[in-house]
Amino acid sequence: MSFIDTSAGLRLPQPEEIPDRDKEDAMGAYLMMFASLAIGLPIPLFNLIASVIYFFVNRKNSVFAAFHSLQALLTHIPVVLLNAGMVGWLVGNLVVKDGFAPAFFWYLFFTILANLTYIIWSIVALVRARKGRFIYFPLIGRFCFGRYYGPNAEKRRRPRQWENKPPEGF
Amino acid sequence: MNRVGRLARELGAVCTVVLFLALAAFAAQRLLFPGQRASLDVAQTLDDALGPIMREQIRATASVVEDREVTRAFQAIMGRLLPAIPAEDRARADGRKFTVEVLVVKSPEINAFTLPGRLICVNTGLIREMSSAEEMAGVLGHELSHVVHRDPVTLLARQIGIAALANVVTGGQGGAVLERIIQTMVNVHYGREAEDRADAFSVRLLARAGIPPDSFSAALARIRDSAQKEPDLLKYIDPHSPIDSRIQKAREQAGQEQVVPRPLPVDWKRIVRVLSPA
Repeated sequence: MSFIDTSAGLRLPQPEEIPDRDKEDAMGAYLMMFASLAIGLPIPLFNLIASVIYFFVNRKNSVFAAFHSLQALLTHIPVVLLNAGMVGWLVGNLVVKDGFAPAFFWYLFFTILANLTYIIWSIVALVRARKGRFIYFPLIGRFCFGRYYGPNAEKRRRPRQWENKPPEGF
Repeated sequence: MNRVGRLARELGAVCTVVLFLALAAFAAQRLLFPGQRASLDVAQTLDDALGPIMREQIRATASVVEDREVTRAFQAIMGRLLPAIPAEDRARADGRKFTVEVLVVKSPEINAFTLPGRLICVNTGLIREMSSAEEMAGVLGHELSHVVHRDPVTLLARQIGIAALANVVTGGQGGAVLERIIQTMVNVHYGREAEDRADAFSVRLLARAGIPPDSFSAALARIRDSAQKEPDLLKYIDPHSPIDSRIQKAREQAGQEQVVPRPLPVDWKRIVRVLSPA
């Protein structure tokens, strides 16, 4: 069943219409950020890798899960960059320099607060996804929605037709 | 609302959150480190904390020579070297007072080392190898550089940091190998820098103290001749530069120093006799 009816405007699947399996898959996308914490790897590069794998595994199973997986994946990127900067600066301080500048501590607290904000947002998002609801992160949410529920989404989902042809001039 | 307006609103929301977090982080930094204007000096903090522990530890685990003649000889050498240390170097080592303790440790190994807390340990094996008090002064000058630049604590701070980092990265699972590799790299990188700086410092200090500056290269040559040759591959992870090049550099630098030598009031042969096994 398609949830996009262009003649009558956009109709989205309502929570009761989404299968439980899809809701769980969508929730799982936001759980990826906790995956590395669970195995003792707080450097979020590992969450990013986990999110990328999760996205590619789930994107063809359900549109609802694909939307949430892509949104979770894209929101990981700024946090990964922020934390990578933190790790880089820390290693630089340890190996090359002798002390920790005041700016380092400011960046440390900023990174901690940004991560906390991100964790809170992820928890809110995963609860909503489990209930079959949509949540849109500023800037990213709109793009993800357009990709899976926008005007060209149906066309993008259709499998590409491949036609075998002989070599040119044969 | 048109598309641009919506985009601007969302961008504004993100910027507001980022600005709020940045201000909160600034407030936290000011609250937790109120007086911090310059870089937090980890080495100074560790040096103060570890000094008394190191003194107790070395006395508990090693046999320290308590001979009056030996103590007087080292006091005479240090009495010449310490006043010759430039004021800015003293201030770097300890802003309040500059005290250095020398312990003579009974050990046949030809070695001298500096521990956190401005503590220099000299093995009896090294003392027996030196042919004069001036050569010993060269070695002590080298160790004094480690004291004034707080090399042991700086290295220790880095090792603690690296251990913590390896633990964080691996979650404590199999981090020992990673930690070992990073530690070795840091030891070699920082160690060579510190050792080369200490060699140059020693030659300068000897000249300032009225001791022939080529005494240091002479001491190094004795250490080279008496030490066992290490396998070639180990030179890549040795925190010291190759000893021949160190001797060469020390000789060149000594040749450039202007000095009016004043002999040290120490009967070195007697000191060596006192410390020689019966």
